Parts: sequence; structure tokens; C-alpha cells
Amino acid sequence: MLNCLVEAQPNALINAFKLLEDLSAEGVNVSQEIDLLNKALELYAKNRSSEADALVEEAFSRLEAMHSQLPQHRLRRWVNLGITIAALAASPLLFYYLFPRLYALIWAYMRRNWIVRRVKNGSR
Amino acid sequence: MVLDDEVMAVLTAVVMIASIIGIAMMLPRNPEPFLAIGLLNERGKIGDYPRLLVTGEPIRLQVFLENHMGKATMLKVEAKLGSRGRIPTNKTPLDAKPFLERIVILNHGQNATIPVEFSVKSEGVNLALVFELWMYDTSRGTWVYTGRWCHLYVNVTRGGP
Repeated sequence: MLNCLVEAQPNALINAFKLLEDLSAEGVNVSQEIDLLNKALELYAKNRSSEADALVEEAFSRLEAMHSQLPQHRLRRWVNLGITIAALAASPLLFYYLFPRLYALIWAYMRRNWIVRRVKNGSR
Repeated sequence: MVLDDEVMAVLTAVVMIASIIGIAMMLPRNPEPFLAIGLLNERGKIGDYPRLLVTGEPIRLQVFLENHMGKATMLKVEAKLGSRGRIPTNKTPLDAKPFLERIVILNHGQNATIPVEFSVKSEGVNLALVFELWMYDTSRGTWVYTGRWCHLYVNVTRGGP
């Protein structure tokens, strides 16, 4: 029966699912919309079609809005990835350059109260 | 200076290896997509399945599904009645009418345990309760058999009058 329902709802449930599939493949968080559609499927199984249709419509409108933002999301994702990789790649160089300086600063700070005194006739 | 060259070289090497591992983990990968189906008993555990059924009496089981297709997937479980030697293959579903269907949408990496309750009407020995996993293919606009199924052999006796 559900099978028939899914195949009989090409303009609603299936269209919503197509958007959902696209968005999830791009890594967009669609867990709330999945919950809505699963709730709708449960309602279809209980023959409460009007309530189910309303949920599908709500999910569809949300997914459509998210789908229109997909190019920006994709760009943001790639930029974030690029920045993260660049930061990781730069970390050994930064470590090599900064760590000895930082270490020397800390070393000197820890000994800031030390007094340097010349030792007369000392061997050192 | 306490920080000598050898120590500095080792520390830099450690940072460099950590950085390489980090970059390798950040790069997008395409792991092999797969779906999973499993049959659990009434309490949601593996094993202790009912083996002897009575016609008309309800049987409760749970079907476990997991999606690792890299995207949200609409899955359908079809329950069919087969027999010993008459079960699906990983290419073809069982040629029988389903007596129960459940549809669920799962996100990538998500799983679900679906309780099912049904009764078997016909009596017999070594009957197979078959649970096939189907997936909705949006490009073809139809349900596609995934080649995944699980089955449980049962003996079914006639209930009292």
C-alpha cells in the first residue's frame, strides 16, 4: 500500500525526496526534513493522507529553500576545506620558525629573577 | 640552550607527520557505498528467534537497516513468504507477493530498527520469512532491489478451532 502511495505522489513526496537526496549528498544537514518525511510516511500508512500531505509540503518548502542556497553552501564548504588544509600544511613551518623563539622566551621568563654574577677566579 | 638541534628535529618531524595525517583525513573520499539489513527478535536482539508459529497468531520481529550510501536513501522492506530453496538471491528478489511493507528514509550513516508484526496464514514446514531490502531510485523513478535480504526458517502449525 505504501509502495503505491509513494508511486502515486510524484509531485510531492518524491520531489521532496529528490531535493533531500541532492542536499544530503552535498553534506547539508537535512535530519529535520528526514524526520518530517518519515513522519509523513507513517501517517500515509495510517491513511491520514491530509496530515501527511501537510508535512510533505512543509518539508518540500524547507528543502527548496535549502536547495536554492546550495551553490553558496558548496563554495563555503570548499573555502573552509582549503583554509583548513592550508593551515595544516603551514603548521610544520610555523612550528619550526616559532617554537624555538617561544621556547627561548619562556626559558628567559622562567629565569627573570636570576642574578648574573661574575665568579672570580672561577673555572667556568 | 636546553632545546638542542636533535630534539627540535624530532619535534618538527612529529608535527609534520601529524599535519600530513590531518590533511589526508580532511580530503574528501568516496568510500564504497553500502546498505545493510538485519533481522532481530522481538526484543531487538540477534538470536532467540521464533521457530514454531501458529497460523493466525501474531509474530513480532524487528528489522535493522543501515544506510552508508553517502546520501539520504529511501528504503523499503518487503516481507514475503518463501520456503527452503525458494529464497531471493543477491541479483533477483523472491517471486512472491509481499505481505508486509515498510518504508523509511535514512540519512547517510543513520540506522533504524523497525518493529514488524504479522501473522502467517498458511501452515507448512521450513517456510522462509523473507525480508528484502529495496531502495528508491530517483533517476529511474522506481524501486530497485538492492540484493540484500535476510530470512528466517519457521514451521507453521494450524491453530486450534
